[in-house]
Formats: sequence, structure tokens, C-alpha cells
Amino acid sequence: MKRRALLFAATLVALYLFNFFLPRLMPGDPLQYSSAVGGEEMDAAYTAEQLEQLREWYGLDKPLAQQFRDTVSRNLRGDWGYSIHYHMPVAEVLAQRLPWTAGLMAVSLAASLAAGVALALWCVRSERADRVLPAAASLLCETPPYLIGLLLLFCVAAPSGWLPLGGGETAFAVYTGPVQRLADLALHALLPTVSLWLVMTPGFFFTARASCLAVASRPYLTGARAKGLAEGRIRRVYLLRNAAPPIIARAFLGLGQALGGALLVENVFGYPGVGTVMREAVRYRDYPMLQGVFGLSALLMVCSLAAGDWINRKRGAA
Amino acid sequence: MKYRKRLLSVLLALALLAGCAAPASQTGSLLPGQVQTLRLAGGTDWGAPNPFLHQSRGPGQARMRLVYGSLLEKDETGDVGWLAESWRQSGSEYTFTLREGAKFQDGTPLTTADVAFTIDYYRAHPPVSASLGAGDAFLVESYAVQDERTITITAARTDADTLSALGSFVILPRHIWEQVDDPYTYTGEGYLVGSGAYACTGYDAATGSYEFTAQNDFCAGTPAAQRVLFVPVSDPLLSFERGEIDITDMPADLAGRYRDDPSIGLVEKSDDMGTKLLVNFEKCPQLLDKSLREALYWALDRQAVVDKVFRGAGSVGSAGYVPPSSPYYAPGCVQYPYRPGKAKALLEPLGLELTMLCADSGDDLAIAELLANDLRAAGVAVTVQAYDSATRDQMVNAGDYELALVSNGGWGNNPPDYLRTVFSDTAKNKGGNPHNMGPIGYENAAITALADAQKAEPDPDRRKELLAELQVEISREIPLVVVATRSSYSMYRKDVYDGWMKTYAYQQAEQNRLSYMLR
Repeated sequence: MKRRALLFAATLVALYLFNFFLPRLMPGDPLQYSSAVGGEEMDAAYTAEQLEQLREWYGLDKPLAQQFRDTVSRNLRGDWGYSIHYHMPVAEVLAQRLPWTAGLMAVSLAASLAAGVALALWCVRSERADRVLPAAASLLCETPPYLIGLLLLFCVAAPSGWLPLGGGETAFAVYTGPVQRLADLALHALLPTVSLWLVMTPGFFFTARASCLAVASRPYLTGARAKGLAEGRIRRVYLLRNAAPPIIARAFLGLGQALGGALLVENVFGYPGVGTVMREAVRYRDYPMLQGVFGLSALLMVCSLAAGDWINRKRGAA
Repeated sequence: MKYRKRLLSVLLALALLAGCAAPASQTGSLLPGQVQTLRLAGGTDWGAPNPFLHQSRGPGQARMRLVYGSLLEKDETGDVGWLAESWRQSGSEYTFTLREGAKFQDGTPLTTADVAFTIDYYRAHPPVSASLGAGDAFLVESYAVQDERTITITAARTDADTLSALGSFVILPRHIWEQVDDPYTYTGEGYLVGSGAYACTGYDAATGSYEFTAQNDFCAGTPAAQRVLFVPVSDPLLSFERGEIDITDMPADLAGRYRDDPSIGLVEKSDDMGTKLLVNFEKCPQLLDKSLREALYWALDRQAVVDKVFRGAGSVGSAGYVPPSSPYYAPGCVQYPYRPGKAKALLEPLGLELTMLCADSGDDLAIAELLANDLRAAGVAVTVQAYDSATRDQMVNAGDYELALVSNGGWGNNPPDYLRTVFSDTAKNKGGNPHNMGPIGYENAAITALADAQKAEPDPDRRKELLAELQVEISREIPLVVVATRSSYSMYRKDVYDGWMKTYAYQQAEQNRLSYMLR
């Protein structure tokens, strides 16, 4: 246990070092991104004198080792730094956007988990379903989430006339109460969630199906049936409870997929969240923001892996 | 069946509930010609609309300039008064008189003390868009406040653009900023209080939404809309079709469909995006031979770039750099038509092997491949190297290339002082602007002299002549290859609002503050 904890801690330290050095070793300059597309001209380009002053202000004029020391010292005080691109503290940028991504991920993970398990149980019950569903799920899980998002946007939202075309809520709306606001949020989140749900369900389905089929052949299920227990109770109490650990572990391991999918889906639907932040931080070489957003993702991934690992080991011990 | 019905019921309830949450439509009385709300595509955080926190790109600057006023503005023909009702120049002294009734959005009167304070403050803390410059290059030498409405500013140097530069810095409310030591992090009380025609009444960084509300007592004119909203959209064209936004870009492939629609108005941004091929002469000294640079032009089918990549919306680049649609274009520039045979005869015997650096975004890669094919056909072995834009930019700025393809906007800006920043040996390759990316390892005294002279020339007509001479010289000497310029269009619904405009200096209708004023 101690060894594993040390391993995860070492992983986090290694990721921290990567997060600091990799962006700075990449070619590119956070203050000299001069490319432009139509309408985004850099007419307000910094002058050579401004660049000097800004480098000093952000500490980019210091040697890399000193920048590292300063960053570690700031981070240890709970200061994540100041975003060069967004002109605000990194923690504030993440705090504004994280709830959107976390909400999207949480709802789609829960829905995928429920759908995957329900479909797996159906496969256990019905041979016909077990012939069709795995093939359909294979097809679906190979489809990139942004493609599903685009299809939903153009084929469902656009013709519907009432489904929102983008955004996380109606901008500057005046709500009569919290229920109306919740409904507005839910409606905007519907298609992004469905996109992610469609992509993530097959993963849960395959895990749940394999686990359920393995448990279904156990003798205690035959015993339960011989006792005359109801089939629903057998599925809930005997089958699902015993098949649950790998499915729960899959849920934790699926956080990475959910995060990756959410970032793509956010970009398709113009949905607020850390996806845009990640894209722009890389694009503009915003070092503090890159460290913050990738550091947070790494922390989330390592914690979910640790949780999955813990569940798997508990199951092994049992 | 039962579940489907339930699902539909839930969706319907959601839609009904959320439908009631349509954007607040204020029903305040409208002035003649005013519209209630203008909606534009948002969704990107362009920073808080204040001089220190907006992002250094057109949309960020435009949002800030809706909120903050400057002394002068630009219309279709030249500089016009904004917070200043009059101005005069005497040598290096520029005297501005403020309009009566000028005030900040918190009701505090705007006086020359605020103008003077702003100059001092910007000297110590350059804003993102530093029209006054920074450090040793600060434009203002001194100022003298004559009275509450009149101030004389002495410029450290005077040239053709000094008046515009002095007129375009935005004025800060002294009573707020005199207590702020670090404007780059300040988001306290009054950080969005300006003196412009619109106040920022809503800004959500996470969703990239902005709400600007008209200041109907603005001293320099009447706002055209009671509210201007930038709302998140996924696909601007879909949102425009559905009426959720009132103006958007028209894709070139759909031009036929929208041009014939009488309800749609268009603002042309002619030849505003340009693509050039830079040569690093330090790495390709053979190309210092001018006849080979001419051969490069002859080898390239630049019309194919316009037809295939720009879908016909654009022009073959003028060898003098300034696009043909500009009022500053010099018709006397040397033309280099596509002559592959002639190019091959000159280039093939040399057995040149070159790499062409380009960005992997936008159309750059497609253009690079077209050009590379043309050059290969002319006997030059070209390898295309594509990198992400930031990497490409750094490689270009560091001179780490042989040939480099660079595309950027602003080619339609007037007057085309970018000729100086690209071609003058004293100005090129400095700062972070793509218009500063000039040829490396190449110097030309005649071009530099003309480029610097036009900047110093105060007489507009003479300046235009100098700019024309400069273009002809550039077209003869070929310090770089101008590939093509691209035109685009903003389309809007005339029945909603018909006041979108472009200034003589800047073609982006959505980013000009006069687009949001009744005229």
C-alpha cells in the first residue's frame, strides 16, 4: 500500500516537472503569437519595448531554473500563477470553467454507466440482444465524439428550431426562478451530454457484459434459481452486486475518456469549459495556464487511476 | 412506447421552461433609428474590456473601444473627432479641445486632467494596445493643460501618423486609476468604467459573453442599439440562419446564395488577408540574384491559389505588396505572370533544394503544397514543413527557415505603413506583428529610404506618391514573393440593422465602433 502511494506520488512529481518544462521547451512564445485568421488580426501587437516590459512582469526574462524555483514556491503557497493569455489568475480561470466540464462529465458518466449496465443485463437475458448489441457498440465506440457532436448539431439541433445551437445557457437571460434556470442549463447541456453518453456507453457495456457473463456461470446463481428466487432479485442482488467491482473500476478509469471527450464536445457545441482553455493555452503558449490546466487533469487522472487500482485490489483480495 | 412518451414529455417541459428564459428584452423607449438589441457571435473570451486586460487581437480591442473613448476616431475618409471636438497641429504640438459634456460612465466629468493622467499612467504602465508606444519609444514628450477642455501634447517625434496615434489612446478615469498600482491585475471597483458610447454591463469570461448597454447621453453621438450582445454560438452560420445573431462572415462557397438575397447586406473586406513567401537570403544566398527571384514569381501559378484555396474570393498578389483594391495601390508595379517554361529554364539548371516552412492551420498548408508543386515543376526540389502556428512564428522570427509562407490579416489597412515594417531595414523583424516579418539577409537602401520617408511625410498626397514609388521599387527588387490576397464578407440582415461600416483604415465592420453609432 505504502509502495503504491509512493508510486502515485512519484508519478505526480514527474507530471509536475513535465508540465513545467515541456511547454517552455516547446518552440513558440507566449507574447509573440503573431499568426492571425480573418478578423483576429494582431493590430494591437506589442512593441519591442512592451515585450521587454511584459517579459519582466511575467518573470520570463529570468533563467529557466529561477523560473522553476519561483513557480514551485508560488504553487506551494497555493498560487497557480497568472495567465498570460486570459489576464487573470489561473485558479480563477479554472474555477470559472471547471464546473461546466465537471457537470458534463458527471452526467454523461452516470448515464453511460447506467445504460452500459442495463444493456449488459439485457444481453445476459436475451441471446438475440447479445448478438446485435456488441456489434453496434463496437461501431459506436470507434466513432470520435466530435463527429457524433457535429451530426447531432447539424441533424438534430439545427432542424429542431428549439434546441440551442451552442453555449451553456441563454446569455443574459432573466430567469423567473431556479427551476427555469435549471431547465435552461439542462436544455443547453442535452446534446453535448448525449454525444458523450453515446461515446462512453460502449465501454461500460463491454465491461459490464464480460463481468456479468462471468458471474452468470457461477454455481451460486444456479443455487439461487433452485431456491425459486425471483429473476429480478437474482439479477440485482446476486449477479449485479458480484459483477460490480470491475464496472466501478471502469468508471474511474473512464474519467480520462470522459475528459478527453468533453474537451472535443465542448469545442463542437461552443460549450463553456476547460476544453477551450486547454486549446488556447497550447495555441498561445500560456505557460502558467498550461501548467494549471494540465496539472489539474493529471491530478484527476492519477486520482482516478488510484481509485480504480484500489477497487481492483480489493476485489482481488476478496 | 411508455418510456418514449415520458422522454418526450421531459424534453418538451424543458424546452417550454427554458424557452421562457429568452434573453431579457428591455422595452425602454428607442430613439429614432435605434434598434433594441444587436447580437453578434461570441463564445470566445477576448478578455475584460479594459485597456489592460483585453486580448491583443482585433475582437478584444474592439470590445474595449466600445467602452472607452479616445480623442479621435476614424470614419470612411479620415480622422474625425470623438471625445475631442477640435484639434490643431503646430509643429510637434497637438492641441485638442474636449467636447462639452464629456463624462465617464459613472457620471464623473471627463476633463483634460484625465487625459494628462492617462498619458502619465500609460508611460508607467503601457496598455495592451499602446498607440503611444512604450519605454524609450514613448510618443509624448510633454503636455500642457490649458484648461478643463484644452490640452496641448508635444510629440517626441512627428510623422504622418502622429495625430492618429495621439488621437487613438483611450482615456482612463483618473479618480479610479490613480489608486491602482498594478493595472494588469486590477479588477476592483470601476475597472470597466470608460467614457465610450456603451458601458459594459455584463461580461462572463467562461462563456465568452459580453453585454454592452448604450449611453444615450454620450457626448459624441447616439448609440445605434440599446444593447449589443456577444452570445456564444457553435456554428455562426447556423445561428445567423436561425436569427440568433445579426451579422456573420459569409463563406465564399455560399456567396451566390446570399448575394442574391435582397434582405442580406454585405460589407466587403477586400484583399484583407494576404499570403507572402519569405526568403531567408542568409540560407539561400543564390536567391540574392534578382533574376532568380523573378523566376520564382514566374514559376508560381498564383491564380490557382485564388481559385482553389480562396474559392475565387481574392486577387493574385501585387508584387508591390499593397493589394490592388487599396486606394494606395500603385498600378505601375511590375507584373509577374505565370510563365512556367521561362522559370524552369532559369531554375532547373541550378538544382536548388529548399524547404518551405508553413503553419499547419488555416489554408497555409494547402497554399504551400500548391506552390511547392509549381516549384518542383520548375526544377526546384521543395520540401514542405508544417508546424503549429506558434512554432512557425518563432521559427520565422528566429530566421530558422529557407522559404516561409506567412498569412495574416490587415493588408487592407490604410495608409499601408506596413510597407515600412516589412521592408525597411530599420523597422523589419522587430516586435510581435506578422507585418514585421520581413526578408532576412537582404538589405535595400532605396526601399528603406522610401519606406522611412513616407512615414515622415506629413502631406497626405505626397505620402501617397511616396508609397506608390515604394511599391514600384519593391515590385522591381522582389525582397519577397507576394502570393495572393483574400477577400471576405460580413453579411447582415438589413431589416434588423443597416449601419455596418468599414473605416478607411480598418475593414472589419464588427470591430469599428462607428458601426454601433447612428449616423
